[in-house]
Amino acid sequence: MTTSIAARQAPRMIRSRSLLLLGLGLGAGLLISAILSSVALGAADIRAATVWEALFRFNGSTEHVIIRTLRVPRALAATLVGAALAVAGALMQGVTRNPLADPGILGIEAGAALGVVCAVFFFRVTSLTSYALWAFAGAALTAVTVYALGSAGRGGVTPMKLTLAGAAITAALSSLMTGVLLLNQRTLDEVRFWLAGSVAGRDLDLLMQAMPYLACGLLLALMLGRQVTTLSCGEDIARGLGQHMGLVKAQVALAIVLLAGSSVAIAGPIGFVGLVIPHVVRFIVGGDYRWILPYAALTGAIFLIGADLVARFVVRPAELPVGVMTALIGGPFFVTLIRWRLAR
Amino acid sequence: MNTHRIRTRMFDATRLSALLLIMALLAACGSVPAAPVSDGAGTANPGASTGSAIVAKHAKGELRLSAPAKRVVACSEEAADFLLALDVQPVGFCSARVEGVKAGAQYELPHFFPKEKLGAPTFLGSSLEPSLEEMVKTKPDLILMLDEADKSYEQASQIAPTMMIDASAQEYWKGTLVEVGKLVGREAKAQQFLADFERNAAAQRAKVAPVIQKTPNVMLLYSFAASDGTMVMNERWTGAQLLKQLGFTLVTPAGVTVPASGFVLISPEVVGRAETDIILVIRPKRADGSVPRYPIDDLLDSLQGVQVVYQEIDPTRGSSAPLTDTFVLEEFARLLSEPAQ
Repeated sequence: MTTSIAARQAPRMIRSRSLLLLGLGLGAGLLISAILSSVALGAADIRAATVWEALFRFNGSTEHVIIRTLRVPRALAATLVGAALAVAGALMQGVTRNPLADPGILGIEAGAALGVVCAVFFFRVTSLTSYALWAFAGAALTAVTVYALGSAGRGGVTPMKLTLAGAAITAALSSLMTGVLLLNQRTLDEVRFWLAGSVAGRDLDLLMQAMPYLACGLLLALMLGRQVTTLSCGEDIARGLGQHMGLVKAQVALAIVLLAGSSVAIAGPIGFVGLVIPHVVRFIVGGDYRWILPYAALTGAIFLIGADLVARFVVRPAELPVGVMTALIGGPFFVTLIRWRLAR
Repeated sequence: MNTHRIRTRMFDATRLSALLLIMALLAACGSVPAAPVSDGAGTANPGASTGSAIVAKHAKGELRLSAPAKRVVACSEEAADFLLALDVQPVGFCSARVEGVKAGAQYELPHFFPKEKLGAPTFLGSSLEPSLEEMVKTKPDLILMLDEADKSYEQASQIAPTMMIDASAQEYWKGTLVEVGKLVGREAKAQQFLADFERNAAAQRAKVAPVIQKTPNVMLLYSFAASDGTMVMNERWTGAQLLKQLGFTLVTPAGVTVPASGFVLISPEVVGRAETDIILVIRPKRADGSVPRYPIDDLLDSLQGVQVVYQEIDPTRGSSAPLTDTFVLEEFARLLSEPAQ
C-alpha cells in the first residue's frame, strides 16, 4: 500500500476539527494584522491615525497618497501572490507526491516568465496588466510539457521523473529567456526588475485584472481538497476508491496554472513560497489537503507580507525585491529539506 | 639540334615566367589599401604599416592609421554620434536598441538621429555581439566600438583597425571626439564642435539663470519600466552632469546614499523627503510614442511646493555623446525654464 510521503512525514500535531477551525480563525486574524502592518509600516514614517484617515477620510495629501496608492495595493498584492503560490505548491506536492515540487522547481514560473519576455520582445507589450495572459499561456504550456515528459516511459508519473523534467524544462526556458534578453536591450530594460519578483509599484487595476483568475484558481483548489488527499495516498488507492484520475488531474492542473500564472503576472517569478509553506503547514495540520490548502493560503499570504516588510527595511531607504528575500529564506530551507530527506 | 632548340625555348619561357611573376608581385604590392594599420594592443591587422601618419589614443592603447579613415563602422549609438558630430556618415551601424532589422539590411527605421545625418548604413546587428560577416562586407577601414562590446574587440580588429571607447568617465566624449577626429581627418571639426558646445552651454545657462535664482535644487528620478523601482541620481550620473553644467544643484532625499554608479533604487515613499524645488522625472516613451503613467505619479502630483517636470526620452537614444548631450542640454534648459515663464 502506498502511503503519502506527506502523510508519513508530517506529525499530526492538530487532529481535532474544532482546533483546526480555531487555527484557521487565528490565521485569519494574523493575516489581517500582517496586512495592517504592511499598510502602516514603510520607508516614510506615518502615524497610525493618519493611516486610518487615509483609508476612510482621504484628503489627497502626500501621506494619504502613499497609503492609498503605494502601500494598500502592495499589501494586497503580497496577500494574493503569497496565497496563490503556497496553494499551487501544496497542490503540486500532493498530486505528484513529490516533496520538492513547487511552481518554481517544476518550471511553471519559468514558463510564465518566458511567456511575458516573449510578449515584450515580439509584441512590445509594456503594461503589467498585459502581462497576465502571456503569463497564463506560458504557465499552461510548460505545465503540459513537464507533465508529458514526466509521465513518459514505464511506470507513468513518478516524483523523480517530474522533478527531472521540471529541472530540464526550467533550464531550457531560462536559457531561451537569457538569449532573448541578451539580443534585445529594450526587453531587458523592460523586464529586469520584474524578473527579480516584486510586489512594489503594483496598482489596484492590475490586481483587479488578475483577481478573477486567482479567485477561480483558489476556489477550484479548495474544492479539490478531498481528491488531492486521496491522490496523495497513491494513484492505486485513488483509483480503487473510484476517483476519476484524468478529470481530477486536469482540474488540479487548471488550478495550478491559474494560481501560478496570475501570481507571476502580478509580481513576476517569486521562488520558494510554494516549496516552503506546504511543508510548514503539513507539519502543523497533518496530511489532509482539505486543511492543508486553506492553511497554506493563509500562511503563504502572511509569509510573503512578512518577507516584503523585511525587504522594505533591510536596506532602508532603498528596497530589495521580495523575490530576493524569499530566496534568502527558501534557499537554506530547500537545502535543509534535502539533507534531512537524505539522512532518512 | 631539336632538343637544344626545345631546351633554349624552355629556358626563355622560364625566364619570361619569372619576369612576369616579379612584375605581378610588384603590382600586387602597389595595390595595398591606402589606410593600412596596426594598433597599440599589438593585434595583427591586415596590411599593417610601420610608417603610420595618424596616431590616436583609445582604451586599448594607441591606434595608428596611415591615412584618414573613409569607411567607418559605428558599433553603438554613441559611436555613431561621434561620427555624425564630425559630419561622417557610418557605412555600418550596430545597435542593441534597434528592433525589426536583420543584420545586412539597410537601416532606415526611425531613430533618435535625424535621417539626413545618419543616412542608410548597413545594419550589423547588436552592438554587444555584432555580425562580423556583415561587418566584413562593408569593407571598413575603421571600426568604433564602446567598451561594453569588449569581447568582440579582438575579432573586430582582425577586420579593420578598431577604436575601443571607454565611456565610463564623466564627459569622456570631449577627449574621445578629438581622437576620433584625428582618425577620420577632421580634428579641426572636432575642436570646432567642442567650442560650439561650450558656447551653447553658456547660452543655455543664461536661459535658465532666472529659474535657478528662484528654484536652484533639482532631484532627478528615473524608471524605465512599470515594474522598475524608482531610481534617484546624483551628479556622478552622466545626464546629471548636464544639469550641473546648467547651474542647478542636484539633491537626493535625506538619508539616501548614492553609490559610485551615480544612481540608487529607493522607496518612492522617501521622494517627499528631498528638499528640492524641482523633480525631473526621466521616462522612456513606449513604442507607440505614448508615455506611460506609473503608480508613483499620484504621489508626485500630491507633493506641495515642488515643480514636477517629465522628460520623455526616445528609447533609441544612446547615453552621453556629443550630439546627444547637446540635445539633452537644450531640452533640460527648455523643460526647466518653463516654470519661470
